[in-house]
Amino acid sequence: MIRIKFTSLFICILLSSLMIPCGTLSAQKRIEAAKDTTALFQGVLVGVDLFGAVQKAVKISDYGQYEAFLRLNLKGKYFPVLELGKGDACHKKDDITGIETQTSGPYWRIGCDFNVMKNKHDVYKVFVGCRFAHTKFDFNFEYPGNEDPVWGGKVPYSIKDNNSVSWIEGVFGVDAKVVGPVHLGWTVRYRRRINSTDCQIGDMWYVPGFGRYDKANIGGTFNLSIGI
Amino acid sequence: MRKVVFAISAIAGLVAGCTSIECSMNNIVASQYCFMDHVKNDNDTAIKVTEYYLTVSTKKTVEIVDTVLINKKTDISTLQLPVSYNQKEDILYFEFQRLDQDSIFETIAVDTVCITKTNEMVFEGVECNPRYHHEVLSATTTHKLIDSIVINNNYIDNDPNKVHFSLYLHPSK
Repeated sequence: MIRIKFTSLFICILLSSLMIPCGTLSAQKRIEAAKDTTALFQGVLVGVDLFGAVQKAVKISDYGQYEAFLRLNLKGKYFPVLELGKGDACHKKDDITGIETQTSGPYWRIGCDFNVMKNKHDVYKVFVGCRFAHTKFDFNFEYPGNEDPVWGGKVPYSIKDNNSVSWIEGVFGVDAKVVGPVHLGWTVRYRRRINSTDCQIGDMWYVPGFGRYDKANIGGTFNLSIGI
Repeated sequence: MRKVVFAISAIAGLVAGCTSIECSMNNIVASQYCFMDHVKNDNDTAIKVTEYYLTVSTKKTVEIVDTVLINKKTDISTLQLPVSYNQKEDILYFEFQRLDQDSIFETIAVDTVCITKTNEMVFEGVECNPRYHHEVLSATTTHKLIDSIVINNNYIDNDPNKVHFSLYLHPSK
């Protein structure tokens, strides 16, 4: 009998301990909702992409981009973004194929990030967002030609073209305030081409702001920014 | 802890940005010919292409000499033949032979097949050799043993599963 009483007492304590936080949370939510008097405009973040710049400076690959961005902070939750950049690719006469190609052009992206953190005013922010992007660029291509193994002969090929590509991006990223107004962050982006002008020779290899040319790809940025 | 997660994520992001070579696994562009077997002649006797030895040759434009693409092939139900990179027209000579009683090759017929086409260079990346794709504009043949040629698929690319031409043998031969 004593054991039954002890068990029911234990269950009562457990249930009540589980219910207390729920009640507290819902009460907190109500208070927060009531107290959300944050001003719409919370500041501006101006920054650059270090990854593209380092990629270009230390020549990890034959392409890279300089990119700057402006991100507005609206209520700590919505972050409209404008990104501007210039992408270049230069491949000097490949040892195997003999191909020489150059691409250069500006690009822009516009979109919005959403802070998915519970505490909107934390120094850490986790974003999901989307972008619409467009670029118009010059594309030069020179190829010494392949020897036809059956019929013989070799025809060199050279084109100078101007192309444009539009794409959309899905963005996931984080941003952290590290020292004073200085922020560091990164983004991972899934890019999908939605429109492009036809190139005479098929794929364009590199598209400024998009990266290696394909119907879709995954890329990223590593951002250094300053809050104003 | 948060800083550690942040650092690991950043490194992962950088690694994901590394380059890789992405050339097509199959870079061979060739035309596929399919001999339509079991064509019936007037006596309702099936002519089988497997009865013949086939030699396919062409003329080199640069050196003006013949070059053999296929030499005395038996079981010629399907053929894969190269396509020129830059010529507007490929001329192919199909020589059908049979072994006579003394086991000596006897030429039955030589047909000339002409394929006119476009030549489009396809570029994938700087580390990949460009290849040429072709749109077939017309296909004609002489009618010694081959009755007709039909274009099944007019785009020749690096897909090895497409049959581009069907060749029908003459029923009366």
